[in-house]
Amino acid sequence: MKNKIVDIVCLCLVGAVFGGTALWNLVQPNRPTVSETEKRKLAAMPELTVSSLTDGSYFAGVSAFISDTFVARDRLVGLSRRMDTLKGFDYALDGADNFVVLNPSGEQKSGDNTGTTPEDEEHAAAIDAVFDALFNGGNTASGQDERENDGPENVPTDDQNDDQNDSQNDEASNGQNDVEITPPGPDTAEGEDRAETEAPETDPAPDAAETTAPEPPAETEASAGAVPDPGDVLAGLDRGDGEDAADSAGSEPEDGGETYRALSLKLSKQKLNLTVGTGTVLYAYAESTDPNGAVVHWANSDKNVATISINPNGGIDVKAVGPGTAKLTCTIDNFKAECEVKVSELTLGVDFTPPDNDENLNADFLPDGLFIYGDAVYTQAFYSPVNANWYAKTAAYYAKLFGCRVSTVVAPVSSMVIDNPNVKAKVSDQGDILQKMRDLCDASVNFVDTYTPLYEHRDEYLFFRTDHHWTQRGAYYAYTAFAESVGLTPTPLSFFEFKVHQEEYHGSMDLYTNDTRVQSFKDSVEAFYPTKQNTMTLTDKNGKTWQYSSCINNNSGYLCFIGGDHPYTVINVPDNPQDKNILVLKDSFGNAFVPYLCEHYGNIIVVDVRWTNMNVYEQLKDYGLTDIVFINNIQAANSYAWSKMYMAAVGEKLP
Amino acid sequence: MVFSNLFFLYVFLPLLFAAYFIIKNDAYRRGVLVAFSLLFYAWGEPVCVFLMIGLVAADYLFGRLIGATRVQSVRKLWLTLAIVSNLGVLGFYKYLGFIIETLNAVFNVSIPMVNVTMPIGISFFTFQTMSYVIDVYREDAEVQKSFFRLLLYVSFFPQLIAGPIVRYKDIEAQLDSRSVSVSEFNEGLFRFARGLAKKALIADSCATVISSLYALTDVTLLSRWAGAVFFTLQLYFDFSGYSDMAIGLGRMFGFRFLENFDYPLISTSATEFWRRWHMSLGTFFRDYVYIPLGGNRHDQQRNILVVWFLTGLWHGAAWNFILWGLYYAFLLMFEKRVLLGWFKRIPKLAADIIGHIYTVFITVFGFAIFYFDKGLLKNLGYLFGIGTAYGTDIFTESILLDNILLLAAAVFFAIPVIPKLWERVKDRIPYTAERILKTAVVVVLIGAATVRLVGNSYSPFLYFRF
Repeated sequence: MKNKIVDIVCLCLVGAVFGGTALWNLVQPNRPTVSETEKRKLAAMPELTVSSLTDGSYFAGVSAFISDTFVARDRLVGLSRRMDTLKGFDYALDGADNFVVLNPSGEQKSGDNTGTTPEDEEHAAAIDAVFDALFNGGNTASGQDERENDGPENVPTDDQNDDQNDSQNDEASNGQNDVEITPPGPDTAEGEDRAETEAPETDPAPDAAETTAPEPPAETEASAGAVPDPGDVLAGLDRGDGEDAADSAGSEPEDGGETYRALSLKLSKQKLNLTVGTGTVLYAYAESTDPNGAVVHWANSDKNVATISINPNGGIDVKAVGPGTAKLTCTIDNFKAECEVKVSELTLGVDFTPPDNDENLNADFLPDGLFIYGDAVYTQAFYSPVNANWYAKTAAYYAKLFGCRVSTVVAPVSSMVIDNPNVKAKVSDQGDILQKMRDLCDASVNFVDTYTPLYEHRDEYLFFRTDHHWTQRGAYYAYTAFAESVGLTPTPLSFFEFKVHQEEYHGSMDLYTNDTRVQSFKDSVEAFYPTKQNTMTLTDKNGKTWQYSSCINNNSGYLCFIGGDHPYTVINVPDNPQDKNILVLKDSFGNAFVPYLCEHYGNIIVVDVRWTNMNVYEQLKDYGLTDIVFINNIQAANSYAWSKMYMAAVGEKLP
Repeated sequence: MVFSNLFFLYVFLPLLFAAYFIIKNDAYRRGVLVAFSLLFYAWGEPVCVFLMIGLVAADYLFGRLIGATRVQSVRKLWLTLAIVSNLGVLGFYKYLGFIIETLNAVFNVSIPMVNVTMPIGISFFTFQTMSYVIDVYREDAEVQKSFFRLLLYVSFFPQLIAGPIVRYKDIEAQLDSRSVSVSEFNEGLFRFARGLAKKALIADSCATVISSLYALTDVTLLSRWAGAVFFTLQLYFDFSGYSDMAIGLGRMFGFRFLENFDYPLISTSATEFWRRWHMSLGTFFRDYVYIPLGGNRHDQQRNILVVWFLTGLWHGAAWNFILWGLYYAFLLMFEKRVLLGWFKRIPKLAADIIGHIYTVFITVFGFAIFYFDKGLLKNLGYLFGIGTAYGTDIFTESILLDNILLLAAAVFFAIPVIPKLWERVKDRIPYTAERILKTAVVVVLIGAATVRLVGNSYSPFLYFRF
């Protein structure tokens, strides 16, 4: 009897809990029809028709209606997400970035604190004092004194690297001494005519051009004995047109009764990457016994991909006409040189609609300075003059310590792309913040203007909608600014191998905001693979090392870029000069940026100071660094913690 | 409709309980159960519900015809017709596409594809209707005179769409009337809550791990084995969870279904595994195929081959399922001839240890065959390191570390630790404490499952395909 009472009581209890929930669910007095947080209409009770009944949509609609309007749905969804964290331990491939917009000194948004307060000046004085002490010896790290002679201006000269993908820039380096200049010939058209007549005989290729008259007869090689002073000739460039060259080639045997022969042949490029509609000039460098220069023959394997014609100023014009690969073959006597022309369509990308700047729309502000606008969640920046000063001084200290060029790449965050004046009025102006940060930097630091190119391209998919990071496309424009600022020619975006790494991606904001609207936003991850082979060795937090065949890898979402945040990563690019080494000090915004450095540097060393206690200076002082670059998002660059970590990484303790 | 659905839990079930327990009359109660069961089925198959009713009507008729005569050859004729019509329906809806595809591939012909969508649960209810006719034919059960009772047997919603496959003779008496005590209802509820938690808390979480492991583009040896292990766990918790819910629901209405799972993952041989995994299917094939073929008495190897070919085929119209069935057929023969005898000759502890390791390995590998209906060879190759990029990498390890507690919990609950402990303390605990404890577990489990269901609205049952 007693047991039965217990049974009944327990059953009633369960019945009360779940039956109560069920009843409340059914009769909810004011059942929501619109979700406040999701800003969408909730599924309504479907209409009962014969077709909705037979195709199952009626019943499916009822189920959706019930689950959409479940009591306290939003809270339960949040709870469910919290439960996800019980599944294991976070390996933290991605570091805890401060996308939470800290308001460092407790002031209001930067828009309001444009002026410098007396406190700021006091702080600045204090910072100066700290760094003065560091710069002028005192309790410095070992080996610092020797470096002191190097003034901050002692920045290495811009490298003369001729970037392989660069097209027009080569003229500068073409100023060789032994070039023979001959007057330009009649015109290109004639050259092309000749090309057509010569083609069948010399090369079966569909499109062939010859820059000159028939090649010297084969038997001439035998008699080519003592020829004075073989000239290094820019065939086609300086001898230029066919007419002239043909004349000389034809006349020479008569002149001296001597025949000439080629000694070597080289092309200015072995590979060309072009996008449809663009063009470039290709040069052949031939060495010949002919003192007047040599004549070369050009053949093209596919004129649907690229066309060639003689450039009146020398070389040949290569025009990209359609996607594919064509082989340009240059021959002289027995020498043959080839250039592969890869033509791609214009830069690919996922569909992206830039934010709607309708003035009737408004942003919905969440805690931590985040806000939702349209179909994306945005982060914004707060300026802290004090902390920005620490950051600037830290970079300057690195410049002095390492004696190499130091650049800072400060990544703007997503709010910069919004043009709607209503929203703009409420969020900080990052262009303004970055300008102020630049003003704080002294001449020894190359403060890269990331804002201008990103702002110019703000209609593109620069920032994730559900993640606080920039996309790799966003990082690209910062890379172009960086490359130009250090005298490198950025590789055009369309030259990279493009892949949609992940069709559907939900980023950090999804979990962080725990807001069902954000959970309904969608992202894709675009990846632009380096044009050069590279290998990546990363050391994880447990000190284990891992080898990868590319710095863009397989992990999901944003973690595909250099595998997320790890203490120490080295990327080697065998095709680049091995004495061009760059140290990257970064937060996770750097991850999407680093792959672009494979275009120029032989070794890229990436250090995430959050995850390592190593002394960067001790480890790398003899490495032969040519560059150091700091890459932080604007908020990290405005937080003292980062400066402190950077200084700690070279053995200096900030107060 | 599925059990792990908010509409089911918070609308359908409460309304059914209210209607069922207000009414006291057995006939009306049957009516309520049939009406709700048909609604339950119609929720997912608003048209095919009539197919099911039609099939029950046909088998009702065949049952009556078999019962109407004592002439053996006539009885046999009706039985044959009944089985042909049941298997015909199953074959048409489930295997036609597969058969055409195979014929086209083998004979290089191009028979046009027929687009039939498979009604949910057809593999289960056609087996139940066949069980009725066969039991009547064998005189293991009486002819059912009431169409509604037969309809209730087949359509009763707890076991309708994903088993267990209830044999008619096991449940015949319960179709008339049943009584449920409050204590039994509580036990049923407890069983249901356990099953719901298995499904919503463990199986669904395993599914996300699997998809993230297989999403890695650099294939690693570890990720593939981990994927196979998680799939084994998912399948176990998904399917046994469903069976627990079905058994629990049945109990709440006074039905006693036989057990369907008995901790299969602790088996020490494939033979034992099949005594513990999806027992109702095994029993069905044993009673209606294996023994009639001769069982252990003659042609045992052929019988094993036939039964496990059919078992594989039953799981799905694809070659990997057939391969999976045959894989077990060969394992069972190997065990009967070699392994089990050898186990008897070595010390029991050693035999147990080796047996466990062997069985876990073959089970996980077997479910890898089961999982990949496309690219099977390539994917099995990965398990032997053929075509994998690395042994392990940081991404694999990060996924595993992110889910290590889930894995530990799943393994813990796949082993009968708690039941063993419970056996020991059960008699020393007063009934009141036991009931309160179980009630607390019910509230927590259903509550947590509700949170998960609201959190991820998408969680279909795996055994839907079968």
